[in-house]
Amino acid sequence: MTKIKNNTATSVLACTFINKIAIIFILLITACNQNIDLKLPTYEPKLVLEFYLEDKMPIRCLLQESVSYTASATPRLIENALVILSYEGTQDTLLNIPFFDENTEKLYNYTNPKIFQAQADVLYEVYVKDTEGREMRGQTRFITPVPIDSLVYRANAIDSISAGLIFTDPLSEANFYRLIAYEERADFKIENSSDIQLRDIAFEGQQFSFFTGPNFARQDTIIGRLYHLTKEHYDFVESAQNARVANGNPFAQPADIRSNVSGGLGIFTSINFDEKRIIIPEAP
Amino acid sequence: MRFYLFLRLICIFLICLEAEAQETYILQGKVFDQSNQEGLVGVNVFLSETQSGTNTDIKGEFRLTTTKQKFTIQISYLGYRDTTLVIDLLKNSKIALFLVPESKVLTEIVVESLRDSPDSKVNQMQMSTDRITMEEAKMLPAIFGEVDIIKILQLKPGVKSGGEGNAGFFVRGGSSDQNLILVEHAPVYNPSHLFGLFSVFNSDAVKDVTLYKAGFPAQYGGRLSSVLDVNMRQGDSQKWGVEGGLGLISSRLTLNAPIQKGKSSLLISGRRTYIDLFTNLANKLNENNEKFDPIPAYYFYDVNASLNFQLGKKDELKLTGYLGNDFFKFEGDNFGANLLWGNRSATLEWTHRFSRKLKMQQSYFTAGYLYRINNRFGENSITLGSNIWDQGLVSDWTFSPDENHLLKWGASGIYHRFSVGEFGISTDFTDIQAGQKLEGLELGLYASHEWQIDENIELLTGLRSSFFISKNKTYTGIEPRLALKYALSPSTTLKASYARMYQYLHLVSSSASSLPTDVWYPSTEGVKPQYSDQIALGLHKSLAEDQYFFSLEGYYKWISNAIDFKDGAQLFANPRLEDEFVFGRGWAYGAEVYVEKKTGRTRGWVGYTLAWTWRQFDEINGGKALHPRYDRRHDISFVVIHQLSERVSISATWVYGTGNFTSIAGGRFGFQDFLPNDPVAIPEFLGRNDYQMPASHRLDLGLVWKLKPKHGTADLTFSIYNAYSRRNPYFIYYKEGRNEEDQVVSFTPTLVSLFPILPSVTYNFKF
Repeated sequence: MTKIKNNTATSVLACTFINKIAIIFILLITACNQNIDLKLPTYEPKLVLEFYLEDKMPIRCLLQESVSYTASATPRLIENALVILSYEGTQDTLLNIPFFDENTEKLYNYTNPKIFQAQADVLYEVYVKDTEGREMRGQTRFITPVPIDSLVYRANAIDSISAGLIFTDPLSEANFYRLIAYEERADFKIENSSDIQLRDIAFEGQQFSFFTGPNFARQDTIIGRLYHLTKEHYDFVESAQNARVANGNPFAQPADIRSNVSGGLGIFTSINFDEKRIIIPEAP
Repeated sequence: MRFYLFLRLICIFLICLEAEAQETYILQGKVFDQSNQEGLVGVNVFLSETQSGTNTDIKGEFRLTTTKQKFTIQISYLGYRDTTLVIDLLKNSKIALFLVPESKVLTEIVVESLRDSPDSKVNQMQMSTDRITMEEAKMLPAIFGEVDIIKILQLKPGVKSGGEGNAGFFVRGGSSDQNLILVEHAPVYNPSHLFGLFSVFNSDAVKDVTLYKAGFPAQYGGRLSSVLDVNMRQGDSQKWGVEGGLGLISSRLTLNAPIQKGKSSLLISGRRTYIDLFTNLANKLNENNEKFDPIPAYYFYDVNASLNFQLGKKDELKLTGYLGNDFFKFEGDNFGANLLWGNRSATLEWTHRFSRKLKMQQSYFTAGYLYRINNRFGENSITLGSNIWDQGLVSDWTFSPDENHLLKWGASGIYHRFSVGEFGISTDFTDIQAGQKLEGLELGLYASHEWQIDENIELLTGLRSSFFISKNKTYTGIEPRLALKYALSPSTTLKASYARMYQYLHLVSSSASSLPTDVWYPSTEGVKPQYSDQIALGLHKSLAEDQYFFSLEGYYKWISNAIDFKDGAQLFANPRLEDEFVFGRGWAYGAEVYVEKKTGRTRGWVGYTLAWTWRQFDEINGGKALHPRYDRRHDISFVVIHQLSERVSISATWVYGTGNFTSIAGGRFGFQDFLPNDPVAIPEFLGRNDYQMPASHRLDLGLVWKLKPKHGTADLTFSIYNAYSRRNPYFIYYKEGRNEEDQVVSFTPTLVSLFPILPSVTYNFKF
């Protein structure tokens, strides 16, 4: 069975499909690749923060620094920095203690064991200062989750299963989403996931549905999640993807990283989602 | 004189016109190629007694005034023997000359642009023009053997390509959407096939093209940087004919047919690639091979048609049409894609001559471009699309009261309809359709006066008023045109020009290359028109008894309301595309040197351009001025054609260009995301187009070998593209190096080149 594993988030609505076709064509007619020496100005590293606030989860973030492109591929984590989360007069300091989330297989190097309780309409702020005196600041708020109308499935000719997530876009300002469907497992690992990121520009106020690829099988339990993203979160991921595409694609437009933290690069945002579960029955 | 070439005058007949005042006699005429009944452009017609002369215009027509009743005219035209005629006029008269090449004439190897004699190019009022004929293009080497007239234009000074093998072109610092491309008055919105590799102009259907780079005639408007006027072939009204060619990736077939002999004709020309036949075969052969990834099917075709009617002595009617489509198809288990994109146009043109002094031309055209993408992703059906459709009327009038004055005036109106950002996604549960419908009315009024003040000075004054009416907004543009020519000597002229141009349609493109998904967007309340001012100065000289033409031109161009897009702009499926535009300014300047050898067994030209191009936007590059990708400091082209024998000619082109500007990431960081995706390296770009790639240079070689078939004519055309297999830069990226565990361990700057040495052969026939 063909499975889409760890499908990189992408915006189907902002499809750059034609770029990919063009790239395929270019690769077909490519004469050769050769290594070259690039004479670029000295790169000045910047602090990079990934900080996702999630209700009922520990407070954790990843703090690293950017590097010259040709530097070692090993991530350069920032040690002994001061990381403070502030809200409603409370300050939670994150300690430089590595934490590995086995469910998502993500590494965080600053944590606070406190279980975070999200509050609506509260301004959350982050302050970071490293041993070199570099500072970062960022702000975010929680937004209301958008409910999933239903989670459905379809079987194709060879009885592979696609999951379909249906929801209704609220008739408000611009909304941004991340859809994910994955197989529920005993070890809670999220595998066989399939996700897309999109904005509601083409379906404002309408019901919308999207199916994953045929990643699932009969008797699987599928979890569908609809993340309602902040605009800053969407912009960051989208610009990061665009920048990635622009490296090695002569047809792509140049892209700047749109961060919502000052003094560096990265994202400080809230995470919320609605979730539904479906068990795929045996074939009739 | 006129080496190796012979001319035979077949038929001369005089048609009497009404008599007028008899102090002077006016001789009007038209010179035809007898073999195909087409007017010959640039034929030199010289009155021996008065030592005055002229050249035939784009329709092959000329007009002379003389006080002599009996006089001698000398007719010279490369490819034909010089001839002399004694004319005895009883009254104002009109003559038609039918010229045919003699059997030994090597017309096929004549570079027709060289027929425009140096003297003619030196003394014409218009500066900054290049004219290329299909005969010339067919002489030169071509990639995959596909003759492409746009790629020949790229060999002229001031014209740059968008990249290796690319059929897009950039003129004097203008972007590709700033070129007005007209085929029989109808605009062409996407002039290329196959992601820009080939132009839409079939070599068998095009007669010639003329590119204006400055001093634009007042009848042209709507784009900032150039006008490319494509002249299609007409059918032969005398006899049937078939011609075509078999190439490595495509074949062509053209049919000539008289409808009513001598009065009307039909020409149909078609071309199709057949890469898809081979890829389909490969897919079928590997049907059961699980390791084989099916190759997508791709092909394009285009069809040109032309109907011509001579309606009496004063009227001509012409109907031309073009249809071209590209298809791309891929079908996988879980994913399928169908792409279609193409241009369409049709033009009806009526020419009427009221008298020998007054002529009008009325045209109606409809033209458009569309793309459609249908994707199937599992249970989701996704469609993307866009189109532009025009309907236009053009009225051109020409009045020549005497040989010192030429007046032109006219009007045009084009109704544009746009469908932008069409997007649909449907499943069993929902059906989302989105997009934006727009329209605009583009109007133009113009008048110009070409005045030969004395024997040394000629002045052209012109004015074009343009209007663009879109929803809730009307824009007006006043576009003065001025040109001055001063003859320092009979063989040397100084020329100067000024032109303002307005542009109301803008290409939404993320790339320096031509992509089918590039969308045209009109000026609206939030998108102001762009406009440019260009001054140009030139010195033009013919040398060595008219064998060489030399020109030196300099220009400076300012662009106001220059358009670009925000970094990371969402250009697909965005019904609020207007929000993604940014507005700034641009400027470009440079100098162009051109030397052309006009006659002899060895002909060709050398062109050199020194140029700078800048753009500046508050929202891009931190507000600092930047170079567009296509900016190139030095550009050199060397073209030579040598006639080895009556049957064999060889040619070579060598081009050199300093590197294009591009954006290179200076840094990177790892992004792990909050969902279970693999961490990826995200590049950090520090500036827009802040890195200049290495220089490019390339040698192409060609050989035309004329065969001796039992019927008609035929030749084999050999081309070697990139003869010394230079690895020219196409783009640069950071290549990931992986270890045995498939982990990324390094990033290496890597330069990608496209074409190595590419030999090709094409068989052409005609009977």
